[in-house]
Amino acid sequence: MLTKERDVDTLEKIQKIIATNLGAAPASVGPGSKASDFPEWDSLRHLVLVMDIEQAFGFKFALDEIAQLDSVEKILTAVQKRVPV
Amino acid sequence: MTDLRLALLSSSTIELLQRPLTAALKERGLNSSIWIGGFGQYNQEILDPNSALYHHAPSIIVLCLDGADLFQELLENPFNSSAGTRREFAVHRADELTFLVETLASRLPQATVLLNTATVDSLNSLFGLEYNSEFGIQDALNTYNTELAMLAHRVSNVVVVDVASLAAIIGFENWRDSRMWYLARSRWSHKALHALADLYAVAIGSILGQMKKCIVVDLDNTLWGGIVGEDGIEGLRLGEDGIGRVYVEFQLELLNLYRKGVLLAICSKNNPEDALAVFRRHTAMRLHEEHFAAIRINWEDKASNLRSLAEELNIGLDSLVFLDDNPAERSWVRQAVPEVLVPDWPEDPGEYKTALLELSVRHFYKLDITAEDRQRSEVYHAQAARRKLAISTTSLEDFYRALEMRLRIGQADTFAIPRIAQLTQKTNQFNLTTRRYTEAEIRAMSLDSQYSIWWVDLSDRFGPNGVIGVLILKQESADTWTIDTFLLSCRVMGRTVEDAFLGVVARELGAARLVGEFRPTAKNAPVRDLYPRLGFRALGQGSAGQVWELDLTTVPLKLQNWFDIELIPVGALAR
Repeated sequence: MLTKERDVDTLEKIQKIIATNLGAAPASVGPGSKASDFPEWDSLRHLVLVMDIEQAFGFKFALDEIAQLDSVEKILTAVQKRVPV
Repeated sequence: MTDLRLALLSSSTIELLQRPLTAALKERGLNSSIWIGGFGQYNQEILDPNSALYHHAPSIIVLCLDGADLFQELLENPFNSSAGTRREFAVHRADELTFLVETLASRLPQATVLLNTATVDSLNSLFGLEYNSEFGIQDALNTYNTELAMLAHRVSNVVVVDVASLAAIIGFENWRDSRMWYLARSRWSHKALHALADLYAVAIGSILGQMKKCIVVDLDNTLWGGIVGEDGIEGLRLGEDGIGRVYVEFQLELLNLYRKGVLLAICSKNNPEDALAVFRRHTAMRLHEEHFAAIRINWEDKASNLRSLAEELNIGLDSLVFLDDNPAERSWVRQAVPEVLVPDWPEDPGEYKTALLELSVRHFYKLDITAEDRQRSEVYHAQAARRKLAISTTSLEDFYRALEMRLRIGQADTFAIPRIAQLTQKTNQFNLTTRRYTEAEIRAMSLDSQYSIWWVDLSDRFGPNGVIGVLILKQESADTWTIDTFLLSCRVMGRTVEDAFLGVVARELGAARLVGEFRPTAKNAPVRDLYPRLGFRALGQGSAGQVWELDLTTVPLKLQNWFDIELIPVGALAR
């Protein structure tokens, strides 16, 4: 749910990090984007973009969690859980 | 931008280094094309002559082997080895590496191989037992790293990058990231990858001769605490007491840069007599006037002073780094002379020393100290004395004679190669073709019978100048040689060294015909007319510039009689 301005900021930040890592146009990554939409989004690239997200929001994902974060939506939910609104 | 072909080989996943390394190299003006070896495949890739590694034909090979991989057996069960078996294990690892490096050197003689010192996580099962019991791992690491140093000493194409120290600087908690290891079999954290990329880029920049040459410092609140014009010599913060030690240690670090061959200069707004009195009378000063190759203490603006410093030292503005505590001065200099590097400088003087050390790693990274480095500043002082002599003598020929110049000329050998490579990389003005060569490339050419590589060393009554000129010739036929490289350090321009140098070398080679090319750059206009002046005739336009030829049977090169010339046999330069 994107009820607050802060949520929108969070989403945009995530989309931007993903686009930068994939070398894609910012507009090509939307709230509904999934890893499978992008051939460049392989396991190594995934790791780096997850680390960039950690750095941007100041926390660390658990080992198990990282592989499951395969869409913008899942990443957003995981970030919101860590960064309380 | 320079294009660079690079290969990355590692004992773990190193793909993730590619982006940060590409970016770090780009920052240094290097476009890189990076080939990456398969996970843990470095042995096969180096040994197989048909591997993709050799198809890529890299000029730089990064072989990054992590201590945790190299010493895996010892780390898994550290309690079934003695000091003797650990030592054997480490030597065996180093021998394997030596074999790989020698294979690389023979197949890619012009490439430089970057190896790394090994380290393992400080938090391990030996903590406590290490150094107290018969068990340990540090002795094995030390043995391995010592073997690396010997390898680098023996094989000139090898450079050791001190990755173990980098890990110590960053700290192991930041160096490793267990998720990177378990999910990607990469030994480095996100942060470590960036630090590693920066360090490799610095080392590569140094191999390519991209380092800065001179640090220009401000005085008040930079070299000492306080303002001499207001606080007086006695009022300065400088000495053993309290904060005064900050400036002592900062000066000591500058002094060490001076010892490594970096030029120091002063650019300060002050009354010269006030400022110089500190150098002459303050007992805590570690730096003295003799350590500075040039000094500007006046009320002119600093940008103009930096321009005139560069001119006096005969180096490009892009070789200067300017340190000033005042942000307004920094911003003015950045705007007025953007070529000069003006780093942000800490507000807290307590951080000066660290900031200088970091700057030194980034921009004055040295792989070796040549004899020329050790005497660099003396050489600049002698230069000032020569200028005085030039003013006092009546004719040019009198001046040449009064200098009592002595030339020593010899062919490239182990002792001369590092300096020859350094000169090809640093010389801009008196450089006919501006071809840049690494040590590995010069060495490869010196083993190629088509090439003849010569150096010249000049000393005069004011002291030695060291090796200041290089000639690389390629034999086209029995008595025809093409001049691949002809350069002289700008310090000795205008002293007819070039005439004598080329004349002696042509005579020694028994050349009847010389072909030379002038390839114009932004900086080498001073030698545009060198070949016609020496009697060469225009032959036509080459791929990158005008080509000239000289028929020595009709137009001999004349050897001026104001030089005392000595030919040095190969190997004798060491003395």
